[in-house]
Amino acid sequence: MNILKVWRQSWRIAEMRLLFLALLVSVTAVTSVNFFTDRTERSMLQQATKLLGADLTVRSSRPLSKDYLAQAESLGLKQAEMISFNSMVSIDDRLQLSQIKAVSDGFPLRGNIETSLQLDAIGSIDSLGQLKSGQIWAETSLFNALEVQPKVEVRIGRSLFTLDKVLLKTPDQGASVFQFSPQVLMPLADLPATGLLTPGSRARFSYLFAGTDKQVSEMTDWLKPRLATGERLETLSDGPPSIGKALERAQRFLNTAALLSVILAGAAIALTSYSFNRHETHTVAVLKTMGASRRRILFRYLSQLFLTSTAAAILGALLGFAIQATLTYALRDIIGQSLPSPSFMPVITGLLTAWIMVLGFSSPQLVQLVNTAPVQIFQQQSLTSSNSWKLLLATVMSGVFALMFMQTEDLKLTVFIFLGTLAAIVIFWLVASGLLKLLKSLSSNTNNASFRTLANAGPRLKLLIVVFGIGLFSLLLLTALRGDLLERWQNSIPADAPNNFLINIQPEEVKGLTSYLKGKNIDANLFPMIRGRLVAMKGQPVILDNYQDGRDRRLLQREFNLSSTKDLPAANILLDGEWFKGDAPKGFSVEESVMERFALKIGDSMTFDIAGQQVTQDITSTRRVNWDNLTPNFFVLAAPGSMDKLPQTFITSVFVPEGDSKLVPNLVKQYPSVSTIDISAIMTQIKELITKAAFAVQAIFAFTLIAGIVVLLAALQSQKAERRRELAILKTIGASRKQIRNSILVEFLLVGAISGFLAGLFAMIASNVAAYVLFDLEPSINLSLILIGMVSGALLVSIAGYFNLRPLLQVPPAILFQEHNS
Amino acid sequence: MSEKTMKYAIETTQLSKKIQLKNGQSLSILHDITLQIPLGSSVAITGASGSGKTTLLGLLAGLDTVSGGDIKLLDTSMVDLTEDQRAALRLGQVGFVFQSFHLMNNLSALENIMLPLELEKSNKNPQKTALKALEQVGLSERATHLPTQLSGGEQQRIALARAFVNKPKILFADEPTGNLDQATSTDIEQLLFKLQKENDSTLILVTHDEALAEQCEYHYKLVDGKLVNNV
Repeated sequence: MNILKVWRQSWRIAEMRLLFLALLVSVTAVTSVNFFTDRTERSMLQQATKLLGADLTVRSSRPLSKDYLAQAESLGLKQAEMISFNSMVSIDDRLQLSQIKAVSDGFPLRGNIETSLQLDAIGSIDSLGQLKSGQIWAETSLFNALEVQPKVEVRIGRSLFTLDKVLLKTPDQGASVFQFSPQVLMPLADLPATGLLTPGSRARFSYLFAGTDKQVSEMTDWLKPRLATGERLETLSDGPPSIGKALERAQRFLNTAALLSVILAGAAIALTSYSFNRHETHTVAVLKTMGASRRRILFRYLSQLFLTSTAAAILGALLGFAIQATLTYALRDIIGQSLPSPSFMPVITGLLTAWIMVLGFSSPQLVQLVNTAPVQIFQQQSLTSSNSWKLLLATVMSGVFALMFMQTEDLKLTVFIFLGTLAAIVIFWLVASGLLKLLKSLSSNTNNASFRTLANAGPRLKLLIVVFGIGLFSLLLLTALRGDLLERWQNSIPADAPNNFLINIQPEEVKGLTSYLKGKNIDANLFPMIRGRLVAMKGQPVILDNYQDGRDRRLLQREFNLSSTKDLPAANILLDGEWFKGDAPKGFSVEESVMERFALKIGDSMTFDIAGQQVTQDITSTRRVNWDNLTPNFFVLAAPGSMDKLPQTFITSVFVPEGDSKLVPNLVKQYPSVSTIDISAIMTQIKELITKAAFAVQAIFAFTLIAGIVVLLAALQSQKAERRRELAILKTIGASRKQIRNSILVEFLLVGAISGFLAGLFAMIASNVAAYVLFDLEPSINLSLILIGMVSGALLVSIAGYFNLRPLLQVPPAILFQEHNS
Repeated sequence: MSEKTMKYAIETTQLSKKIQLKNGQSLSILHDITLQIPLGSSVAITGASGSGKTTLLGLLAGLDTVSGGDIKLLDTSMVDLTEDQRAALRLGQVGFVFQSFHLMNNLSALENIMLPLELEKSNKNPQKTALKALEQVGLSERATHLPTQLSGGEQQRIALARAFVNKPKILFADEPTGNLDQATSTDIEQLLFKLQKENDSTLILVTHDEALAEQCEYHYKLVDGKLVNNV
């Protein structure tokens, strides 16, 4: 028997087409995500080798010892130096906060710099030797922000630079993903003249080394015991940088979203196989009467399933690739412009997914089908095993588990998602049952047949409500998180809340700047900012190895921003102890989470290392801080005047009215070392970022909805035989086509509306929980979510249901009976 | 035994069939059935509803297993054969016609007729043979139609063409006119006997219809699971 011919013939069976559709949806979902993650992962890997711009780097927030360079020199290592910090780059009234990297000759030791002479031009490899004193190279976004072309003069601090070339690629660009400010490269020798680097400034100092493995290893061994607190060694073996981890988390999330579609499509396949089995029972019996052996029948069906799944996998992989390309394009700002070309692996994963789904979800049905007794041909109704539902459930669950594991490669995560999905199904199921019960009690007072049919719905209809509801829920939740939540967060900020932070204000500029702002009717409260590392608590030195919690360790590794103030800041509430009093007050006021984290109490001492000086004070009070109020906030506040002699800069936040576009540029012109951070611009950028990320996630969740529709069609198809009989009876007893059509429509509208209601309700609850946990926002009842859910659910289900059953409406009752019997 | 010396299409000796009930008891459906059906003959089996006609047909065709006695199909005892061995015995030698036609709805009329030839594999041009069979039942213009596009009478004609397409030695027919009106039934009966004669097949027919049974050479009646006599 010609396999391809049989396959073509089987294509005429609706169940086979549905099976193909379900497989197509899952393979497309899986491959689009896998193509995406594969490319970004390989891009990360490629970048990691160049990311450091060296084989070994030492980084610190304080200047590094020159002894390191001397040792590297003696070992014969190549070396370079880099100091990076944020500062304003300005031209006329336009200014942009940028990440300045002052680099010495020889940078980068590994990887290349790519530049172009014009915007939107193709880049070429460049060497830093070309970057002359008084010149800088900057990323495209700086040119765009300042609205300039190359070769213009811009100001950084007290110096003027020629914006010489467009910087397209630098070795450690990967680290700047998710960073909004453009990168600027300047010669290290030009840095002092800018006046930007003062003892209290926030900057990162790095030494870069490159050499043979032996040299690097010797240098590493020499450096390790000599590293001061806060100094960090970085080598390639340190694993992916933090951005890699963020991306890894995002990829896991996308994988999970794709899994949801696979699970739903799996349910569709199981349902389809169930009705396919029923449909083909007589065919198998006929083939057996003709002399076909079981092996031959098994081969016939296996080959059909193999061809269907392979075709779906190939088409799904193509679609997946196209969707991935769209996602990559939409997210190009976040993940970078040039990703490595995709590998063939996702196609293999797609094929495996399709085969596992077909084998896992339909093989028990197939075995049952092949074992059909030929004598069954004489029976008018096909026999179905009473165990088939249990068998189906067992098959679906084990198949789903296998697929989840394949996608996540993490048993713990698989168990977690599996149980989470089960819990979601149970919750949806229980609520759906409750609603249907309510309908049942209401239906006793109505004559509407479809209303009653729905109220007496069996488990299959409930399953339909559940899976379709979950698909819709995922999409509504994302919609709520994307739009509603951001808006609520923004609305919670007062209209005159500060929208600009001024940082890096030098002590000598405080007086002038305060009066400058006063002249503009801005009452600014300037806080000193002192950087210090916590080195001892309760008289005991801090030993990092004693802290296992990641957040504890991070807090101890980095430098605290300390400040001192006479009055308790507005956004702070004193919880315990006393605020600084008297002529020469002493002590620290500490934020409550730090107190909790390190089990501190009033009276305990804390010692900070501030620019080499140890400052010890007792804790005199505990504060609660509202971090969202857009004013400078600090974990630790010292008594007024107690920090005056230590190196410091000042910080403040001001509200600049939207129309006053000159205020900030003029301020920076007058005080060149001051950097401003425009919060409203950052908010806009965050919104853009979230919108783009949500687009990616929504695109993946759209598969969930499509898979939900496929499940709907599969469920409708599996009920078609009963429907056919019902319609034949209804037509025989005189129901008009219009009456039947209306009855079907009402039934499906109700099913869709119930699914949508549940989806909207749970999306509202979940988004409120997210709002509370993530943004500390008050719960709000968003009835539009429920309404959107109900309307879209009712529309989708009734359209799909009506079109599935419409052909039956046209057929005379006699034929319907005949078809049912045959 | 060679085909020339073979006398009977089917021989049964004290054939019986029991089924196990849910309460553990067994119910005897057929008992002590001994009959010999000569090759090329036509045999009708009649009986009231529930008398065991269809069960007997299933046993004679090797679709079901016996509880006792022996049954030979084309001189081969089927008692100890597996389901697949019995299927192999039917392949290309046995045809079926059913009351509900049992055409495959996803196959065209022509494809339905080609099916037994494709299973048998010996025919080099199944399409040509099937088209000829379609002509014989007078439906050549319906070759590409799906069963759902055909009337009941047309479907049964296609089913007849399918049953006779590989010139089977035995043709089993289960109430072949049970789902048809009087006029169509007469047409189908005539066609059935015509094709049986042309193909020199043995016809074993189960029916309620006494008039149809009378047209066969032999007529057995089943009463309470027992073959009463050759009417």
